Amino acid sequence: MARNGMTLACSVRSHRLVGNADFQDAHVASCLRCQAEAVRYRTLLRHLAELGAETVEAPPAIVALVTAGLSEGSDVPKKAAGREAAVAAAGLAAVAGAVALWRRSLSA
Amino acid sequence: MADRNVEESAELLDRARQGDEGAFSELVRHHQHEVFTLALRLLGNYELAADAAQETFIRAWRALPRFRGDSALSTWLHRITVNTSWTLGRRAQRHRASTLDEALFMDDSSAPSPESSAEAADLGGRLRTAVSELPDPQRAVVVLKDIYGWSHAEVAKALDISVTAAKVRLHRARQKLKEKLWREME
Ligand SMILES: [Zn+2]
Repeated sequence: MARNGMTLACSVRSHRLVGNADFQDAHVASCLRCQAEAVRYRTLLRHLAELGAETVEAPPAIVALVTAGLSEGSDVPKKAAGREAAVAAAGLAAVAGAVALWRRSLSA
Repeated sequence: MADRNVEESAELLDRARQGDEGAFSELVRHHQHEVFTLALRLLGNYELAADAAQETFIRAWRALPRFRGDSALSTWLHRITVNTSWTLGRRAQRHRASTLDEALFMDDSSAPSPESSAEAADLGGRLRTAVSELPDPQRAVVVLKDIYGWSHAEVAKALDISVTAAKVRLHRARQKLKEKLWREME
């Protein structure tokens, strides 16, 4: 008999329940401790799955930063040239400012 | 409506593949939040996740000519996010190790912020914190398998480990999370 009323049988089941929270046998069916353990793992898995449905909003500068970085190197033939390149350069300066502000807000 | 969105996405993807930066920016706009969220779950750090999301899209742009569309664009982006986050996470870890002495004299960024303490009041919030505190290899497995529902084989392939190793890490991670959450409640 181990601590907290945990028997060797409970310990073996606890190990099974980590991999499969729905694991059932005669011991689990009659042991309140193991049933509580099963509920905990089911609750844990349900909450983890719920996290997968959550979306955290990306920092606002990401699209601008990526767009500015596209011209730096790619296997894709580029279309931007001439006037568009000048616009991109101006955009890059604006992005650098936005990033500085964003980083400052992060460390504030 | 859903069909129209699919058509629009396919058209954007086609244009982006041909080098249309505007079309690719539009795709980034569509996918930025999901990519950032995955990076945040994997790295447990907002600023690092922002860098990973940015790097993911740049890598995707470079690799776009090789994207054959065998999987959905978001699935492909998720794989790149995992690789990128892994690389950035390891780099940050090396950096942390090399600046350990310096860090001793600075604020501990891993200490819970006021927001995370307040958030920790509910199970979901405490779970987010507990996941972010797992060691990187265990967090990666629990995020991909239990949060995003990937198969053991997909997780093993993405992290370049065996399926057995993925299962062992998951086992340990779940045990740690369970112990952390319910010990705190007792
Ligand atoms: Zn038992």
